[in-house]
Amino acid sequence: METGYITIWGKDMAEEQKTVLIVDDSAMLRRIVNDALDILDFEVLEAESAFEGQEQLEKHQVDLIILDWVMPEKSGYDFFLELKEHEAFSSIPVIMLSAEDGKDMMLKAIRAGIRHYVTKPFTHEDLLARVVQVLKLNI
Amino acid sequence: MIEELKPQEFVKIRDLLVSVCGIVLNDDQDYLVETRLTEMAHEVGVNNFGQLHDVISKDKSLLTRVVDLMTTNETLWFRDQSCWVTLKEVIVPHLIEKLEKGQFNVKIWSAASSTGQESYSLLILIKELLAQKNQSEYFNRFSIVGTDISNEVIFLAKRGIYDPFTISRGMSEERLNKYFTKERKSYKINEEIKSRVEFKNFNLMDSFIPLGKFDLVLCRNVAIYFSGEFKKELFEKISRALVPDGFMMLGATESLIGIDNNFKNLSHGNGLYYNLG
Repeated sequence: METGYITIWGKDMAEEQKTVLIVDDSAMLRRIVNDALDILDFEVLEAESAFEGQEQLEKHQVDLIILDWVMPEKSGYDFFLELKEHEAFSSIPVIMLSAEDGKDMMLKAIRAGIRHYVTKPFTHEDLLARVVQVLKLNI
Repeated sequence: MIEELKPQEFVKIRDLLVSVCGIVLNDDQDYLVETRLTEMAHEVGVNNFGQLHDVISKDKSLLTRVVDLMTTNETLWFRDQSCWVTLKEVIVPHLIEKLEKGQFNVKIWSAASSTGQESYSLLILIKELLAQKNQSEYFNRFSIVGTDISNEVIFLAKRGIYDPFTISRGMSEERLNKYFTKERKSYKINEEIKSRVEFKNFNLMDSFIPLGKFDLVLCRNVAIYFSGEFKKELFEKISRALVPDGFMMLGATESLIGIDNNFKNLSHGNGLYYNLG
């Protein structure tokens, strides 16, 4: 595996492995996102509901959450709003996946503080470019 | 939190994008500005889009990133069959012939390289055509410069690692086995191919002079984002970046119709390509 290096304040240091949590009730979508992230050598955690996502967050230090908007029981959006109120999780960036490409949904998400809104179907390049941007991997 | 985009702020940003970058936004695309540029507003530490406008209008590097955020990254292996048939049957044989006639090296520019598939696909094609002619020793005399306005996609292109789904979009099993190495679930392009391409950040609005001259420029699916005036300027600059017998290729659905230019149209089957006549 190629080792990535980043420079912080002029000092080279090994890039630490990032942990990403995917929360989506669809096993297929979790696999697609997991496969896409494989090239970045992240630790990837999966959860099939907001409840499981909360459990994962309590057990692990997570750098990024990729969240599906539509899920049974609790939507990804409602889960995001809960996380925002939680001191330990409010600063974790969230990328929202959604089949809805309506402007109202997009604006609602971005205005609430979601970092990127990605409409399905998405290209892997598009998702990865946003992940790289949010985690500042290219700096 | 960033304040909601106000109509007058949208007009200022829209006018800046069209006048400086040549990116055209319709009146009903205000939501694109808000949904795609909010992340940048956070990053530069402003509270509203009026302030963001003021910051980006004074900072060229931020402006280039705005262009990137407003456009789309999509690329396939050997994307657009007619282009690849023309490359295989006409253009690459011509480039090989140049080496046979004594030219020392061949320089190619992939002007919007995105995550690298176009550059790596072309190097695979060149390698295969050279092998067919027992001229594999010429491979190291080809080089590609892959540029993109997005630092994020350049980061991904340099890695040269692709997941199974991305690989499945145009890469044959045979080529996958031959030119890639499995790495966990993904596939990494072989070093021999990777060594012939250099990826770097570049803005097509800047001068092309520092890039040097090219035997072939691939400018596929780029100009679609630009206004007429910028398209004209783009093709003028490309014509000056080509050697006298150099070629340019556009995307399969693009043409120079309606753009004042000094290129000569050439065709091969359904594929269009251009030279300086």
